[in-house]
Amino acid sequence: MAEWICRTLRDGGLEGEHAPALTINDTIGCPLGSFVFDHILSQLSSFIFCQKSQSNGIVLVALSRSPLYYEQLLKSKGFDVVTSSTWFKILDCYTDPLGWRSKLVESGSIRSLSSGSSLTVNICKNVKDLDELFSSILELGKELSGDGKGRFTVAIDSVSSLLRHTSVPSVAALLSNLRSHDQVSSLFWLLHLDMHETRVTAALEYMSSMKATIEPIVQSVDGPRGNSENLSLMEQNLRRGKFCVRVKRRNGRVRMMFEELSVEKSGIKFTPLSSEDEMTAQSLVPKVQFNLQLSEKERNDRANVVLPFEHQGNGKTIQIYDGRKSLNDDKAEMQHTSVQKVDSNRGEIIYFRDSDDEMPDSDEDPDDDLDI
Amino acid sequence: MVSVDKSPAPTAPPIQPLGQQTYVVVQPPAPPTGIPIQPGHQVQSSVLAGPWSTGLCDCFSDVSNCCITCWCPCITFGQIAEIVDRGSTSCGASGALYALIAYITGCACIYSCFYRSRMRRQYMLPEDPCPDCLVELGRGGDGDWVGTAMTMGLGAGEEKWGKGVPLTRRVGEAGDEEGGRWGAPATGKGSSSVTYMAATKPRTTSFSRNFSAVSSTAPHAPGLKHGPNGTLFLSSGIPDLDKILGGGFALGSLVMVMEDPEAPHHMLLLRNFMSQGLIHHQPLIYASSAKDPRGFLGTLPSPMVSKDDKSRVHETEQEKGLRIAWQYKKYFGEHNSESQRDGKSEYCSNFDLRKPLERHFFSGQRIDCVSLTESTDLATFQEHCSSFLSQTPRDNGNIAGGRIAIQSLCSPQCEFSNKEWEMLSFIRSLKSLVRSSNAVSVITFAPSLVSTAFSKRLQHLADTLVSVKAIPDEDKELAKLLTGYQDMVGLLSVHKVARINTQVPAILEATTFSMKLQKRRSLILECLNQAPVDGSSGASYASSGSCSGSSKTGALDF
Repeated sequence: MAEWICRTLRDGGLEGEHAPALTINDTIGCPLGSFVFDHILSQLSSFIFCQKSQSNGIVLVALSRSPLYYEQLLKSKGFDVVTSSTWFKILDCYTDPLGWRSKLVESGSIRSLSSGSSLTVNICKNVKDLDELFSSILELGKELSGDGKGRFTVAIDSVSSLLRHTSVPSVAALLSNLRSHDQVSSLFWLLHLDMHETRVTAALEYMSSMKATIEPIVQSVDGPRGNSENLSLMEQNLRRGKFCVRVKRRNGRVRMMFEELSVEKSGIKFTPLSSEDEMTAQSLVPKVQFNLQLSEKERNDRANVVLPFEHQGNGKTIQIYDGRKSLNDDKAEMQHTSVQKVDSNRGEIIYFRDSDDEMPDSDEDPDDDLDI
Repeated sequence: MVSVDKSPAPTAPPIQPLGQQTYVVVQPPAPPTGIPIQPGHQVQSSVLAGPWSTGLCDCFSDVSNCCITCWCPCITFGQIAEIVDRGSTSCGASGALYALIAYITGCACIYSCFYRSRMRRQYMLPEDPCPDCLVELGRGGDGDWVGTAMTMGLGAGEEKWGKGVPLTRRVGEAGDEEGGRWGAPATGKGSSSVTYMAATKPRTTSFSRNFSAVSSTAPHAPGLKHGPNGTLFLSSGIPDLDKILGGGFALGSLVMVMEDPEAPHHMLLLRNFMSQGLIHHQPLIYASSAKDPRGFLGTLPSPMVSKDDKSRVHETEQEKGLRIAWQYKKYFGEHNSESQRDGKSEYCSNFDLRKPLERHFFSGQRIDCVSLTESTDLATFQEHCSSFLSQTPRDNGNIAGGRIAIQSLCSPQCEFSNKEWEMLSFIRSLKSLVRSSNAVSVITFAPSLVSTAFSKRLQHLADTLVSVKAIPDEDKELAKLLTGYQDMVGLLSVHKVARINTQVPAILEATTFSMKLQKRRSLILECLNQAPVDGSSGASYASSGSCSGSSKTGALDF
């Protein structure tokens, strides 16, 4: 539930607690992660703009998309770019992550180094030094609030880009430092699962408190083969996807939520999932072989069992002699000493009563008289 | 449980001389028949200078001996000679000699007379009713004397001995887990003739146990407890876990907790472990990947005051009609826990997770907090641990028991998290360190953060292996499967229990337990009460529902 996530990020973390951290995972099968990222960013921006959230501003570390893009995003959402610099800061790691362009500027090959964005941006020239990155983030965050004590949200555009330059332990250290910092109220980042080994993604999931995965709704069977079916499926996956969220709650339980997301011209939309596909809880607890309930099939089978003394109901009234003269029987035609019961499908059972002293209901289903 | 050793044990050297005489062990003359000698029964009834089982003239009380003696005295004589000579002459040799003398001289009474007096001297038999030689002559020197001797209870059938303290005991009591050294040599043989010329020492039993110095006195430290096989336990801080593990964490063992990245339950285990150590004044090292590990000490729980520690509320469900008692097991254990609670309050306390530990427990204690992110490798930390543990004061027999708690060893912030072999060698050396310094180390790690091969290696290194797992929230299916789902916070599985000094494995009744916070305060572990489900795909044999032996995820199955 995207709304739920946005609210959690908006509310931030409690005092002394680690800030909630969201990781948005997407795969090549359904590469809608950046859309989700933008959506969450814009939602948070609106919360912050209306001053409904714990944090005063957002610090965005732009690694895979230019600051211009974000400027346009804000514009499209209706925010005024000029005033938004009070609550929206970008750390530009996109223009010159390794410092090559500044070297070129020094040598005079290119004129200037600018991203073309009017948003105040700080340019980071050395992405590899994560300590510096950390301190720049904190600096920007301090600028967001007047007294430098307010809390802010950090968004990292793509941790995958960060992982290209540095090692996993340093990225993990950066994230954990951000989370444990007092001034960071919440944190979220985007990660492309296919680009990394499972250990790396496991490490990043370890650092996060919420994990949102975008999966294709329909898995294509043959992979990248270019069937017409497959192509249409793949095209579908470019627009629609399943949004699964796993949240680590404070009491130690894991909450899972599912939604369907679709990307349209107007934006992204989240709708509740039509078919619930939940993890079977049976995998968690040990297997037990002791079943008391009957399954549907078993119930049907039980109903179909023909009991030998049961009246099947063949439409005729059956006169049952119960061994004593009742008033009705006096008027009945005859008094037999034997009783015949006819099963509709089976053979006949001819029963000779032993004595008249027997209880009349001992060998007959009393409901037979009712002839239901 | 006791298996009788059917083969003759090798002769045991005399261990303790009792009186002036030493034990002599005689090889069995015949192949063992597998009947163990249990002289203890007879010994207990007739102690010390008890009378012989038969008198001089009771020749016919032992019929078999009498027959042998009458028809073939040399055999009997040979056996007596062997006994009297204590094995220096063999039965066959002396028997043959007797036969030879009897044949040649016709009067073997002289030879037997000689042996008779020797025997009498040895066993201090009164010269009654008449002196030796006369008896010899009177008997005509034939087997009567020998028969007499036999009826006196000497000979191959040592069962009839009334004197001496034979200390044979059944070899093969391997199942006896109550260690300790036995005070007497254990020479169990099939049907051997073991002679003990023991001086009469007052003993009511045939063997005595020598306690080793450590175990003879109860450990003075309140935090330690004796366990089977001469091990010492210290408490994990969670009474239920102590019970499950058979007493607690064994000193010298390495406990590993496999974390679930989605749940912080391993912190609960660590907190209780550390608090228990502080309460018992045991030295503690805590290491984690946080920048300031000291902060974690502030979250340690305080023990519950006894008046708060009421007995667990047994929420007996209202019996609405007939219910099938597949949950019957949960009603059993609670009766026992009541009685044990008082005695155990010193060893293991119930912790109130909502109350922080008081300050005075931190002062004057040896507590070290180390941040794992400080250095790029584990060598410094290893040095730190070894120096810390070597400083543990070790009085004579008074072992304090140190505790090492390492949280999230493989967490990705640490520089060495990529270097798996380094971590492995660190844990190996830590294990030997802990074993030699009688400490307990609890390490938590998340198996998903290391490769599967290394995860397996780490699991194998552990002496006690436990894993915690998160449970989904608001899961209706799970709520149907498990009763008490609302109170559960997670699942705990016990994969391995440390067995030190023994080869007998611990087979637990159940390996998966639910972790619950009782009244949001104390951590309790309960057996899973599962609703019966169609487990046709399951592998384990049917248990009536409450606990099952198999753990849930196949990867962690041992």
